[in-house]
Amino acid sequence: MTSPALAVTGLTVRYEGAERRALDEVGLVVAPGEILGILGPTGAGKSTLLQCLSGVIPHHEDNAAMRGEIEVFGRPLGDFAGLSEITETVGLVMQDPEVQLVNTVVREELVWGMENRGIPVPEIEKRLRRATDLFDIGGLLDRFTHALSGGEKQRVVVASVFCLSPRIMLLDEPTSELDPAGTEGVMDAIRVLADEGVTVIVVEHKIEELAVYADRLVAMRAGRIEAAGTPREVLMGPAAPDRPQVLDIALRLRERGHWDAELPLSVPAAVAGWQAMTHDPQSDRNHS
Amino acid sequence: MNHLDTVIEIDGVEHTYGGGAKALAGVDLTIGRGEFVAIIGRNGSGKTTLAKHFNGLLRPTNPGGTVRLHTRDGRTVDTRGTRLHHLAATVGYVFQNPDRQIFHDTCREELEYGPRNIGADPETLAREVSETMELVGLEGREDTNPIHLSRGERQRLAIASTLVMGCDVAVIDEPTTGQDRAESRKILDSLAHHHALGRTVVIISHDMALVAEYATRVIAMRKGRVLTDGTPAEVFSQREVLQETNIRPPQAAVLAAELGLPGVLTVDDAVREMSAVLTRTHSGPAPLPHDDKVC
Repeated sequence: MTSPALAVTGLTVRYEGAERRALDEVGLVVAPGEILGILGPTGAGKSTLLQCLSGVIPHHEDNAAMRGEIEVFGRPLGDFAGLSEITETVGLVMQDPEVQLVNTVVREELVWGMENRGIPVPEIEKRLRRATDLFDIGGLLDRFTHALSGGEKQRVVVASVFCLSPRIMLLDEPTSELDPAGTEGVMDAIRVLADEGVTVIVVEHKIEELAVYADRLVAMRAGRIEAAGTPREVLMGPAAPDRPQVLDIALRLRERGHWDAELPLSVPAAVAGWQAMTHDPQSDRNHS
Repeated sequence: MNHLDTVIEIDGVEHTYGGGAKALAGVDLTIGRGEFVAIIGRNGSGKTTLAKHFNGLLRPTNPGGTVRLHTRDGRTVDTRGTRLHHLAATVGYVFQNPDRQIFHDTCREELEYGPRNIGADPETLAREVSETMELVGLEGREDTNPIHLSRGERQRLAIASTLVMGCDVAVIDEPTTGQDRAESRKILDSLAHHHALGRTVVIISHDMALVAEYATRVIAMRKGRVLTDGTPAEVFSQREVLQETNIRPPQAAVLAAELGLPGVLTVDDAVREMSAVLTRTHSGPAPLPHDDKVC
């Protein structure tokens, strides 16, 4: 049996001086090639979880006490020789893109990490082309990183992590400053990578996108996992911090005895459900 | 609209940044007193550049472009010839990233700073500070250092520090970026409260569900120009126009349009209209009494 990409048991973190645990006995198994979405209100522990999975806690954070087990492809994270070895497998995109932009020009930002790894030039060029296509940053390559908009910075940072070809990508609100089309572009790219076997964990507040793109969702609150399952299971349950509007509409119509079709997660699914329900000759004008 | 009702008047404004990029390519716009305006558009469409003209943070770069503010005491001020601090009492501005404008060691000092600069009475100020902290849901955190607040809380603090100035117009660039649903609502509710006092609110937002629910007017930008301008219902019904700017109306409105149900902007609207159709179609169970309050 192949090992899961990530297996977490009893993960508990407390920041120095904090009133409660940031993470409290968190357990999680993520399969290779899966897109796992993490939901939850501010302060739920979502970013702390990503920092543990990437080794930032404990390697780069002195103020957090941590216990519990994290295994990456069957190997305990504690056995890795520090952050530099972990980052060969696990890539992290942090919430604030400015924190991890270190070069002045976008092209250098993308190439820098690969050069540090000693990746051969033809391979660097190949990955650069792929990153440019996937994240639609062809027009940005010669721009100064400081002069990019927030949304452009986010796409560059995700692309630069992709260039290191990690088997696991951890993304902390990678589309918060992107417009709807830009958000969809990044989500499409994530889907392509997952289909090629990359494991993706993405923290997002954009529930309507997550409902469609994630294979599974986890809802967190106050350091604990409150619900885990398919998007439909989690979003229908009480732990969902928010729901796609179409699901909300269908649930409210169902309460009134009006929605007996499958509960939808997207507009096309809602239209299909509606057509199934209203399919009688007299109502044809309603769905022509 | 006469001058008493107008608070910001923008004529032929262009703005070209140093590198030669034309961010505004000719904008004419009048914003009325007491409007709740949402500016929408894709990244790079000129939303922030336009908003920064409202309080003189940016000035038109073409000689013919003008931005005039009509103050409460009946004066008309051209932003080009006026120093920033004279404009700040009329138009307050909250940046996209709150950390660019928070610089005090306690929330209280952060809120007191602006009003003190324009000569606020200390006793009135103390009351206004605590009222504003409560309005944005930060009551009890007056003595907290802002670095101990979450990003969402710092965003609300930045908004509070602008609202406490009592400006005629509050301009907020992406008030809900990175906020969860409950926080986003808290922020928009605090702006709605400010708006209910007769003030003008202008937000820049990508969250169309909140725009549909809170704004009284929507201005869609594309490539440095106003693409369309109207009530949320008017703007969100122009789906083909909006596609040019990568904006998608709220899911409830998109669904209703697909189903041929007009006039739907919010989840409440959709439930009401769809319920009515299903009741007619199936002559199924009649709606409960006080139907709209069930949920």
